[in-house]
Amino acid sequence: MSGRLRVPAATLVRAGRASAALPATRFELSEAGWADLAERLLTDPIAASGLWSDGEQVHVLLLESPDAPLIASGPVEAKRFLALSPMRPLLTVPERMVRDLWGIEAMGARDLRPWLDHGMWTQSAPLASRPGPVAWPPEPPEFLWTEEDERAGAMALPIGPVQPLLQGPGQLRVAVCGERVRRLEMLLGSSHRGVALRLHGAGPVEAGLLVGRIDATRCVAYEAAFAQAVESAFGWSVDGPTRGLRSAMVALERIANRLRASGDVACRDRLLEACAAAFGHRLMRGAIGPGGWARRPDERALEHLPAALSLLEPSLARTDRPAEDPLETKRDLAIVRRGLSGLLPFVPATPALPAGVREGLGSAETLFGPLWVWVRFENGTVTAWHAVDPALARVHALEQAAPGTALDVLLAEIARLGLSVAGADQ
Amino acid sequence: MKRAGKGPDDRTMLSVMQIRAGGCGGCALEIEAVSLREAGLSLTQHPGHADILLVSGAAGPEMRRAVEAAWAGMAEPKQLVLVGDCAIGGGPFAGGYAGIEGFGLRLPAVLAVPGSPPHPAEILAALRSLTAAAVSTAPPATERASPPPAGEADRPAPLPAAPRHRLGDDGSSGS
Repeated sequence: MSGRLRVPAATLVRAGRASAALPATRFELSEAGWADLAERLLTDPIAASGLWSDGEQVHVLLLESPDAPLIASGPVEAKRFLALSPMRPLLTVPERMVRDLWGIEAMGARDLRPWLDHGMWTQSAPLASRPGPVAWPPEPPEFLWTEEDERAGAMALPIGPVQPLLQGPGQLRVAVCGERVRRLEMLLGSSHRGVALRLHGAGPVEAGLLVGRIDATRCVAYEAAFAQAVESAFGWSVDGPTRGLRSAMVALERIANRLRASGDVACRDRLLEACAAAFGHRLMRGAIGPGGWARRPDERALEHLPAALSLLEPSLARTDRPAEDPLETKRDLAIVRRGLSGLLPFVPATPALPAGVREGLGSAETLFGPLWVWVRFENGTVTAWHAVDPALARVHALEQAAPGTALDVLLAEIARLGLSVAGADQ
Repeated sequence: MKRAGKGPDDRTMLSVMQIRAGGCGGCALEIEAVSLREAGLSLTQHPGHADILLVSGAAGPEMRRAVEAAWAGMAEPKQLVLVGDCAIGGGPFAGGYAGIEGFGLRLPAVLAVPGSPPHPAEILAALRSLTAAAVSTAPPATERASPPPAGEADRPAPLPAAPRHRLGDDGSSGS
């Protein structure tokens, strides 16, 4: 191993050219630099949580620690780049998505079957500068099946796309031997709406409204992460009370999701009604805007929110529900109370947009894991965007954990996780 | 189960099959907040057992086929209820390369509940109106559904399904 490959992967990335649009976070590597990174990832423990393209480059989100992001960008040559999935299996699905959306192929990838594009779009590689013709007729999805499955006498159990296990459409194929699962394979993409292309050309406020409609189980997280990304791109500063209230909203969303997971419909409903009074929408959608607020929260209802939460506290503090961690709920309640205590100066979304190419990265913690949003603006409009949604990591974890489990346990676990596919498909 | 003239409860309890056809999932979240039993409904996973098909979400071609197959697999009498702007007209995601469309123009919906998402009380009122109609037309008509509790009369009534719904500029209906 050369000396160069003994340096930490993060150091190797930072030795690349700092991107002019996102200088401290995104570094552009040469083809050789990207290959070095790929090799370095064999032994370096750094987490790689997402991968996407903008047509010119491919980007990987690395996390030195949960709140220390680093983006490495590698060149795309002749519509190809060196795959990172052999070193980071979590990137397998993102590589399949890059192929579907951009027509850019990961060389040496673990898997290159279609993920989002099931042959029913009006064009292939829709985000490429020259999209391809429609692939017609649509082929049935191809699931893995090995000779070992055959020899073991396994049975393939197809589930979906309409099924009650996932929160939305999705296909599952379970290879089972008797009661034991040999392999679980999931295929999402049926609820892909082409959000990235729809955002193209939108201003920050308009884009923020659409981003909030990606996934109802985390619309506040999406809006908060997007607002943060825009603010970092444009160098807008947001005051402490606004940041605190946004954190409170993200925490309220986590609490509501926890209540839903534990089946406490009545308590969740009371919480959502209190949120609707304060933020104008039961899911708190459309309140947060880049630069401040898209819609002014109702100050009187905000004042009443702590009292409403106090009434709910006995239900929230119950410890007999498996889907809830009372300590996490307690922590979230503290975040909500802290966020509500500040005075709120109302700052409407700033209309003055800087010219040139700007990029930003934002994040929010959902109940399902961290959400990251990266966005690029050119002269004030979105030209590229990607969200690293926590659902894909859940899909990956489920597939990894499935072999050897009992079928009914696996299916119950999938249903319990409440996996929302809307964010994963976009 | 389809009404097959069992006891009075069976005769008045309609079965509903729910399909989340895509989109953000907000309407399905609000359907979850509705007590189907309160609306005189029980859930089924099988179109053959369903009296009502309850569809929410923005659907691409794949899920449109799935919904249409479920609809075709239901025995008469059957009713389709569309919940939310996306299921009705595609909502803010209509069109595009993914071919998102609503079902408002494709299938004969008996009720469409607009909103993004509609309030659970609006969904409940829509479903109750179906069960109430079923009771009043069920032969023999021995029972009538109780009227909705006080306080719900001020909720906006669900729209009857129309060929085109007027939605806001952003695709919402201003809920």
